[in-house]
Amino acid sequence: MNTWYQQPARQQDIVLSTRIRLARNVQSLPFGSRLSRRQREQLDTQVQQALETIHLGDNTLSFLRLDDMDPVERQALVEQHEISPDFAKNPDGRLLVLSKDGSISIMVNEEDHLRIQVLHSGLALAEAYEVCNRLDDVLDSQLGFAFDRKLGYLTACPTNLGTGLRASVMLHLPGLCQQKLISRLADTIGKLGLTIRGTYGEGSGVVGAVYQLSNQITLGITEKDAMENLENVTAQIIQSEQQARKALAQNQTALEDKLWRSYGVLTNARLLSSEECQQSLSWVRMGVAMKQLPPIPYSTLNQLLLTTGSASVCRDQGQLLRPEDRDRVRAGYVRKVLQESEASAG
Amino acid sequence: MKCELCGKREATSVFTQTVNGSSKTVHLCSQCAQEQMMNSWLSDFGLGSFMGLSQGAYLSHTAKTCPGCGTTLEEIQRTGLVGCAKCYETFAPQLSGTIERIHGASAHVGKIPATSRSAVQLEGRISELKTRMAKAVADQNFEQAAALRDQIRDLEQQNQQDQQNGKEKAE
Repeated sequence: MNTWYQQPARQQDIVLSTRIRLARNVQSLPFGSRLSRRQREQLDTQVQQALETIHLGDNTLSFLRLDDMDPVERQALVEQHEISPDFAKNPDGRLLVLSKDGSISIMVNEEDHLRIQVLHSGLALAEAYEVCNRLDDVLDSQLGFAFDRKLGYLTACPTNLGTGLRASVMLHLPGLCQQKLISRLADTIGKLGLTIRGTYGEGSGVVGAVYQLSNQITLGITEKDAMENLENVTAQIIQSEQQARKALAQNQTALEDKLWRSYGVLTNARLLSSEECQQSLSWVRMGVAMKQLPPIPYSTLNQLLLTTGSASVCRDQGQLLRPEDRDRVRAGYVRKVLQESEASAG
Repeated sequence: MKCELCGKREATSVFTQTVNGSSKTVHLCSQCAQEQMMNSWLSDFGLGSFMGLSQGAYLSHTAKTCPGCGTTLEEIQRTGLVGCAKCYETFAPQLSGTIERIHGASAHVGKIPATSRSAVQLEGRISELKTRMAKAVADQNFEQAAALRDQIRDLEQQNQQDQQNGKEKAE
């Protein structure tokens, strides 16, 4: 089975991925910060039982106790956007429900009792929401979620009240970034009830021109309107990014040099730091999208972006590696994936 | 542009709040934005004061605790998190202004869970009958008003019973 980031999708030249997240709490229990260890574990069991009735075909669900995972494994899941950094940091009594293809991840005992999350490659808000909504219905029928006529779904933090929906798209904006247009863009977006953050790995800086655009407001707006709003703004950003890329192409030789150098790094480097890897992947993705570089499939580029973080590299090796060893292993892994991708294309 | 809070990192987020028709904008880096939005939405600092919140306004209420979970308003201010569903009821007077400032709205219009859907329909029906009853009274059509009053009473009883059943099921 392909992983979620290998699914075909729209707008993969600029949109890396889509994420839908619903924050939900069980009516009969106090919220996260007030739960005892025993209550947390009971909730884990209830969620697991509730999900036993759902049919997802081949995409079976695993139930993973965070206490049983080692820190590297948890960090790798953060790098792959399956769980939040906070969820990984305090494993105490927490449960992760993860589907086989990684598209569904339900964090139990996060800030809210449940964070139901669905990931999709490219731009696919409606598709991701449909899956999330179905899971929400099944879980609600079994657990009974806290809901108020006026305030909607009740959440631990008032910023999530109402729909409890956070819809996000990961955007690849090297053109706008080069032209230093991001802060102006952020200005406009703020006025539209959305936020753009330079998060690739939350809390960290912007690497490889990847930005997360999401809705900020959850009360007084329907799920449909919030997602339409996000989709419309995304469409406008895509247009601006395409124009910015065209502007970069006016200096053709300099652009080609930049793109082919990055391609050279990925296909030849023997030591590759996480940052250089993401930076090079960023240029190569743009080069592929602009048809200036060989047509590496987006599924391969997504895979490289999501599985070359330090923890992911260590996890695949099954051991903790020193930084210099990590860079060697990462370089080897990237070369191998690109060679295999080329071989299967040829 | 640098973050207006830490002054160090590059600002990547913009927050705009419309309060009484005038809007204010603040530029923050991702780290400060996250901290401000998620943790300190009520504190008398940074975005908190930017949103027009001040601790002083809440001091007189901090002694009150939620009967559902024992959380105090001071704890909610400090952590940015409520302790249970009932907290929203307990501290409604103190929280409603903040909620409206965060979202620019105060009423949910999105999805209604299946378990609440019948209650919502019932309440809609009751409110419609009440309007009709008021009109009947105004028209001095007392016979019709009395019939409507009985209908409303029955529906309200049913609604209460449904809610009671729902609670028992949840527990």
